[in-house]
Amino acid sequence: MKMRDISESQRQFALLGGIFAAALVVSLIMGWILFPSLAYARKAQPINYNPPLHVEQIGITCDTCHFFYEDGSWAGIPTLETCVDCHSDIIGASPEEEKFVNEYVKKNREVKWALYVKQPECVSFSHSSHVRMAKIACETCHGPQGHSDPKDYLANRITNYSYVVYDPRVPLNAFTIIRDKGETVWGTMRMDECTACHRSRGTSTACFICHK
Amino acid sequence: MNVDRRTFVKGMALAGGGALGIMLSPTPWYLIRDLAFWTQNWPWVPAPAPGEPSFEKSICRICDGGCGINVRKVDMRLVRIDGDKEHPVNQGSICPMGAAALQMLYGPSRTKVPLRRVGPRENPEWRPITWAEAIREVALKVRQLRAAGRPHELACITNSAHSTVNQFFERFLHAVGSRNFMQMNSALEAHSTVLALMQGVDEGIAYDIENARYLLSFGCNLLEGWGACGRMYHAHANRSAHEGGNSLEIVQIEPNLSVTASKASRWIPIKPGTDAALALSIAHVLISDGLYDKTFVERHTFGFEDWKDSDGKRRRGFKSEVLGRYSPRSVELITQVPANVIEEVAHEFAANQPALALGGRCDGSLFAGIYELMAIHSLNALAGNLSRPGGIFLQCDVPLKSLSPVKMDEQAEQGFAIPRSDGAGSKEHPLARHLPHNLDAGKVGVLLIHEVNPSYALPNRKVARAIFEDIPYIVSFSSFIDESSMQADLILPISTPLERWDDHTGAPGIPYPIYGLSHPLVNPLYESRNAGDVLIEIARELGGTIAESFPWNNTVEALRERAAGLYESGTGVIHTAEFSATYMSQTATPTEVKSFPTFSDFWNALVKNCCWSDPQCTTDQLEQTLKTPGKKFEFFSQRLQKTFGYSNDLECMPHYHEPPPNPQGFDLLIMPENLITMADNGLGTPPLLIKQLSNDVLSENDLFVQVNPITAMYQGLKDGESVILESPAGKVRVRIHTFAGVREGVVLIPLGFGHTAYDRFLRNKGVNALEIFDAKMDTVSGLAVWWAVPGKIYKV
Amino acid sequence: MKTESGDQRIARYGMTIDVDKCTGCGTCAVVCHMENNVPFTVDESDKSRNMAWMRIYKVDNGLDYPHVRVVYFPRPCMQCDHHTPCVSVCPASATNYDGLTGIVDQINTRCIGCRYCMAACPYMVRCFNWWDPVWPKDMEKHLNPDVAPRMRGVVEKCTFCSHRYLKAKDKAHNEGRDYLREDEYVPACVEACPVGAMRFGDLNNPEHAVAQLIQSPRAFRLLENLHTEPKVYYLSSYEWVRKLADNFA
Repeated sequence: MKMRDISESQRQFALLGGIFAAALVVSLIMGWILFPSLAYARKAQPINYNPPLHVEQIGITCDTCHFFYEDGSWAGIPTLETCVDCHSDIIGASPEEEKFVNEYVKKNREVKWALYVKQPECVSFSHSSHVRMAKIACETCHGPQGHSDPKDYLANRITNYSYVVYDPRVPLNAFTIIRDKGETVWGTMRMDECTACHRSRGTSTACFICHK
Repeated sequence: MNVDRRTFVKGMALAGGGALGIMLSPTPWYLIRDLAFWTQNWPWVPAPAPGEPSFEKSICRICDGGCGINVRKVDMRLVRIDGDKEHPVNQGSICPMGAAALQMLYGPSRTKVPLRRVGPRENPEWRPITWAEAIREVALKVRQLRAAGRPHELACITNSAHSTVNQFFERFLHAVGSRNFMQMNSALEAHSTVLALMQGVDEGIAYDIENARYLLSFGCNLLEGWGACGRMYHAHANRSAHEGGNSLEIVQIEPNLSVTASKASRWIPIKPGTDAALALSIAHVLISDGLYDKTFVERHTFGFEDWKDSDGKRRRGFKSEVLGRYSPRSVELITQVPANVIEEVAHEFAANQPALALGGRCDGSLFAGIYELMAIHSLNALAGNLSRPGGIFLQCDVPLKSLSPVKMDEQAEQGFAIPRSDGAGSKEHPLARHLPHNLDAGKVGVLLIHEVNPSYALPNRKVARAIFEDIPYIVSFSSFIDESSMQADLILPISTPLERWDDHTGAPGIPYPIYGLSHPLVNPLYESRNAGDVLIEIARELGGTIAESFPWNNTVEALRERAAGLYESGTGVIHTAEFSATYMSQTATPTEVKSFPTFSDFWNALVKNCCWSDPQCTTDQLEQTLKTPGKKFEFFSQRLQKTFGYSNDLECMPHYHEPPPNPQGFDLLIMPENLITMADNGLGTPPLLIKQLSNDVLSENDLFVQVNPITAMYQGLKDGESVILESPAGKVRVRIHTFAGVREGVVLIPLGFGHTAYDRFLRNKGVNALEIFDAKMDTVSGLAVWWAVPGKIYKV
Repeated sequence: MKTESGDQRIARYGMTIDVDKCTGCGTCAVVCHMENNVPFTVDESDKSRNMAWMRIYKVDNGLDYPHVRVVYFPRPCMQCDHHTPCVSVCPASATNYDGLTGIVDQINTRCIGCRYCMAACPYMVRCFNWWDPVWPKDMEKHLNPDVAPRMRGVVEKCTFCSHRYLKAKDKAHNEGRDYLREDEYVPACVEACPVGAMRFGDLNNPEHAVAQLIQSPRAFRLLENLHTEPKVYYLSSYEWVRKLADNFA
């Protein structure tokens, strides 16, 4: 009777443990793989711009197209005017190039690029302070964008902000998306990342330095 | 369902496992991160786009001041207007209206497409039409006038600017065959009449305020929009010697405590309308104490001493007249300014040379009669302050190339022989040039209104109403839906000055020639066009000599052609600025016109820097400023006698005459108040300026008039009470605000309110004060006189 | 921040306003509201609801005609240096005092709209967004990209145009400098004042004009008795004007 009781309660515990473990495994899979995969929508850029082609083969640098204005403000994503300097006519045989020149250059339409890195309207980020004064390389925050060719733009379904995998050797899956930033993934900076760096460098952390 | 203990425990295990698993995964933390980002985005709040920063210069055309402005651009958006530090007129200072001009450019009251009225004027509906249709329609109306042999019935009312586009309008009228080109009267127009009478010149008056030490201002609101506002602000900024400028005393003679009075070194309250008596009493002290410039008066004036005319008849001179009638003691009774104050001021005026006596109330345009301004101007002559630093000069001509002569066909010649419909230059008003407030609407068939709003701003309200009731066809060339456009038959959307090619000659009161050229800083918004270009097209549509009178393809061609005159003159400078794209620093050097190798170099520099000036060229020789037959300053104006045939000598000399008594029951005096924040010339006021109004000026839609607490007490009224303010011309409903700075018996009513057109930020706020001012016509100049009106005030 | 000589120095940016010169024209306020995207509504006469970072107060000496005189007090945020009232009450850290520049800032997206700061501010410089800001369609074009428009439910106030401080730093960095010259960082109101009544600079830097001006016997501050040490100083030669600034209790 006692044995039976014990085995009965053991069975009960085993059952409960099994339910617990199964729930744990399922939720871990959901938490690590399913939700992260669902959290992002893949979107295509209007034109599949090819950074390695520009940087590695043609040999232009970031600041050829992403430059500072005279007053130290940042031009950001180049406008059509900058592109037209080279792309007034179709160069090469790529169908994307043909689409770019015919659909945008010839029609004088700005490309509505999806931005991999952008901050909300309440944030003002000074490239001049970071690049010119603190001498931080573009890659530190943007990763090797110039050497990677992200086919897709990943838009977070809640925020509409992107995270993008730059290392083409890493398969694009849930694990890569949630990997710590700076290894294989770069994207919009969070405020704690900004302040951590500012603190470690002894720079001002006054709110208005970043918030406008 | 029955949940027993076992099921519950199983459920807990499931939930616990699930929760632990989720907590061990990055999902919750990333969710929090994403939600944090989400909270930072407010998609319905506008996010102004960043872009390429740049600065471009232009000329402010809100008023005729011609101040230089510096416009900040972000890509093709204009986001800020600042004063141009290198511009000779304002040297960086601008008024709030100029600073808010972008709200006009982008504002909701812009006219967008040509509109044709359908339905009656009282209750109009508007149908959009194409530019081609609009131009054909105007041409048709003009052609019909000419076909009926009535080309002189074409009339135009335009703004007071000296611009090429205004010359285009005049040209168009001449080519069609009409003299009826009318400009709204500029603020210093009455002063030109004074100069014509006393100095025999046709030019406008100029004051060398920058070099003066003492300003005796008879009610001029020097700091509230008098002359070029930016220039006056700059002069005020440098008033005290320790700021590096010339020490400048301002003595303000005015019944009420205006901003200028409160900033003046001294405020002399005076009984309203008695300025002439005070000026002549100051002259009395100057003469009796021997404080005037005897050499100048002896050599260069006429009518000072008693004189004999050609018949040998003895005539009384200015000296006898002034000494006889205007002793400080007797004038104290007229002006209620103590005799010792009059003496003190006269002594100060003499001791602080160069000193200037300035007349013209509010923005300069309000005066009690031409004799008042003559009395004030005679103080400048007594001080000998003509054509010398810190004194009176004339506005100089800008050496622009004149446009080729107008071609007129037979029909045009016939129409042109018929006199003007506003009476300017006629027997009644021989000295006047433009009298839009005297227009005989019955004699006009087609009226072109260009950038003015006579329906709101014409001081003679009867004429303003008649224009829109009697004239069969009215075209409004306007950038905004103003009151006049709302009553027109056709609205043509005109680009604002920041979107168009335009020019502006001379700034009011500046002693040397200045030419402002503005170019489009942005592409014209909507379908708006340059008025000059529209006129060229109408002329082409009409063909014949009218088209031949407009040989240019567009306005720029004409501007370029005229600017060649500046280059060929070889005089003057352009302040060429090298912009660094920052807020502050901007360095400019005056480049002499001579140093430009070709005209197109000169033209490019002019376009970029917007301003040519020639500070060396002033009328600093007396023969330039004294052009009466005897080459003398005339205290006794022989021209006045000759033109009007006055038999009474007094009518040819500055004098004070008592105003007629107030009509029965009207025991108060209503005076207009000029607010720097409100446009009172019919132009709209941007919302950011209305924000500046204190709520004892405007509360909801109620306008406040100011009265002295004692006046309010006598009338049995309390601060803030709703009242009816009535004059013989009409009545308005307002509220009262008591303020000790207003003279007893005076009611101050602010101008610029009571619009019925424009946008919802301006419309239906307060009342248009002009409705109760019954403008009279000055007998000599023909200009509108409406500095005050008798009134009464009572509870609603 | 560093000065020209390179030594680390803490700045205290401050302003002087010469009320004897000020004509109350309102250019400072117009320019401020243009620069900082301050919205407007149809009825601006409701001063308890309307938005203004810079208000101009007309004050008289209380005497009768003709002895009455008027002065105008332009009133930006006083940027209190000591026990900054708004900062000490903000439960959300939405407003903060920066020790390196002395600027009291306001972070709109962090504000929870409790309006505790509005109650605490003795100068009434703060205003609350009762509605989302709405500009007529094309008027959005003149908005300044350097300042984010606010949303309903948050408090806003003058920031001494702190974005202009950043712009000035950007430019200095672009030129390889780490210090700012006196005229490089100036709020919009000071830059625009047409009569030169307003000055701006580092109160800690004896070379700056403001540091000298605040030593003058003409200088005074509003409600000095509260000991909030405002960094906006007023200047006047008239005793009655200086007395207006405080209740001298």
